[in-house]
Amino acid sequence: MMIWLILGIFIGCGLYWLYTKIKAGSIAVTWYQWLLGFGSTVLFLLTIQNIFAFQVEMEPVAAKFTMLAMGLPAVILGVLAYSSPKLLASFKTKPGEKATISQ
Amino acid sequence: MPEQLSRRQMIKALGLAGAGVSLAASGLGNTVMAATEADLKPQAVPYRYWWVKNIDKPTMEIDWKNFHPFREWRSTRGSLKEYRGAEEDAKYSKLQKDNLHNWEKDNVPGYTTKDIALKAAVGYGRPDFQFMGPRKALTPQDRGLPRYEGTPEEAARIVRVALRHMGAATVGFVELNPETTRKLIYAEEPAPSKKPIIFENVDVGYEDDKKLVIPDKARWVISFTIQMSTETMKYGPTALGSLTTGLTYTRMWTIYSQLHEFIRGLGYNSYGASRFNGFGIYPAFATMAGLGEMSRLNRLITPEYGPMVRTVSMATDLPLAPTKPITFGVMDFCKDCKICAEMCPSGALSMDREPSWETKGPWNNPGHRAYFEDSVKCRNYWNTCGTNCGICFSVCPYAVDDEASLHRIVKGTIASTTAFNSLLVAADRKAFPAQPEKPMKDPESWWKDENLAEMGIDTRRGGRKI
Repeated sequence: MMIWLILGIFIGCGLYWLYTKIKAGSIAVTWYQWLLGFGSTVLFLLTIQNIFAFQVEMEPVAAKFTMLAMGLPAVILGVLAYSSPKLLASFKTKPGEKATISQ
Repeated sequence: MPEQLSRRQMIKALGLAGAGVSLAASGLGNTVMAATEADLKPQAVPYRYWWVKNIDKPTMEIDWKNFHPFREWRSTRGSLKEYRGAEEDAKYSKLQKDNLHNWEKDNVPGYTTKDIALKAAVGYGRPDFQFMGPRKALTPQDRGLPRYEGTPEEAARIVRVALRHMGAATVGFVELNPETTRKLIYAEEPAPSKKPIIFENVDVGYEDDKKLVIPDKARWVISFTIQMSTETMKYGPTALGSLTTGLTYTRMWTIYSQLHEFIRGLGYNSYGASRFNGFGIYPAFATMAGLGEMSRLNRLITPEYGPMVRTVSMATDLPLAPTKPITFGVMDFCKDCKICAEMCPSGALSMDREPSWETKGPWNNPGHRAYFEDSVKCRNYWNTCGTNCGICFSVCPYAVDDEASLHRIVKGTIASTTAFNSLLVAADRKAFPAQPEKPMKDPESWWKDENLAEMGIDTRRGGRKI
């Protein structure tokens, strides 16, 4: 249960940091970033729960499989959530033109 | 004209309105629920996952007109010698004896002296089989008091609570109907006595030299499951794996006797197995009682524990509210899965996609559509590996613990749609790899773990953990 307390504190701190940054106007979060971020967090939490649980069940292969099947998508979604504005901006720019992020 | 509301007043008004609507809805909900529960007979088994759906008929089709009471001794448990011939029978018996001796001598993991010793030890402590139980408990009449009186729903609840406390996993009830469910009681008890089991219009049943008599008034069957250890079953087909069933049988028959005495203590009578595997077709009763679905294993798979249960039944004259059959997608999932049949070393389990009305031999009882197994092939392998194998149970995707949330997500998905069955089968093979004729884990590693769960099971499952 301690793991959930620690994770809860970390996620709470992260959300508070995000809230203050958004309020200060130093960060803009688009709707799809919220969506990707939410998906990444859910998958990440599920991965953590299942990895620990499969250890309790004495199923190390299942734990590794979970890391690959759920942990990897969680990381990919997280990276996409962070970098999607830059990626989208680079798609919209013409060759030779410098990509800028509209806020 | 109404005066304009301030923002605070508006929020307060909305809150009060919302609370009012919620209270009205909850009150209405309770009323509807109470009315529905009163009208609903049979009822649902309580404390289930949301994806377990109650249905009127079990997912295993039954043709009651062509379904007749089975003679238990016609199973391979009672007639194996006849089915494979005396010479083959002697050959297999010798093979089992020689294999066990040699493997113990050679310290083969899972068959070492410590494995054999533990397997034998957990088989001790079982009470003697008695048709009406030990009959030692004092009845209310013995104590000068009237017998227990309650509605069938209340009686069902106290029996369920008592059984959970004794160590049962799930509990359901079947009402006996001469045209249908009564046929699930064996025509004759197991060998060697093979006495007929009959119903008579008497007040109290009895057993004599020629027959076992259940009174017509004993119209209810209590069906319950006992959890088996997923942990040790993974070591099948070794002796270490097979002690899983050994320990569960010991617990099961102990609880069975305790249930007889509990019913007696309430002032009623109960009628059950007079020998090992006596009374009736337990998985069929469990299916009718909504404890699980039949499967490719031709055994019960439960929503809570998968196939990792043993199940048993007894009849009683204590009126009990029956419970409904269930579905949670097992029959459809088995069509795609087949891992049990693929991993069965003897090839005894059906590889057909659909269940069949055609039996594989006289050890099967016709009249229902099932994945019938070649029981002689299965028994031949039992003799070869020296135990009761259990590989088909251990490789079943439902034979899992309950710690990881993925198990519930997967089971809920299977129960809700068949669209992902093939994908989930492929994922199961990767996450829980199995090899033919080999234990899923190294038996020696089990002996090094001094932090094992009591009896290899989690007793909080199936109730408060749901």
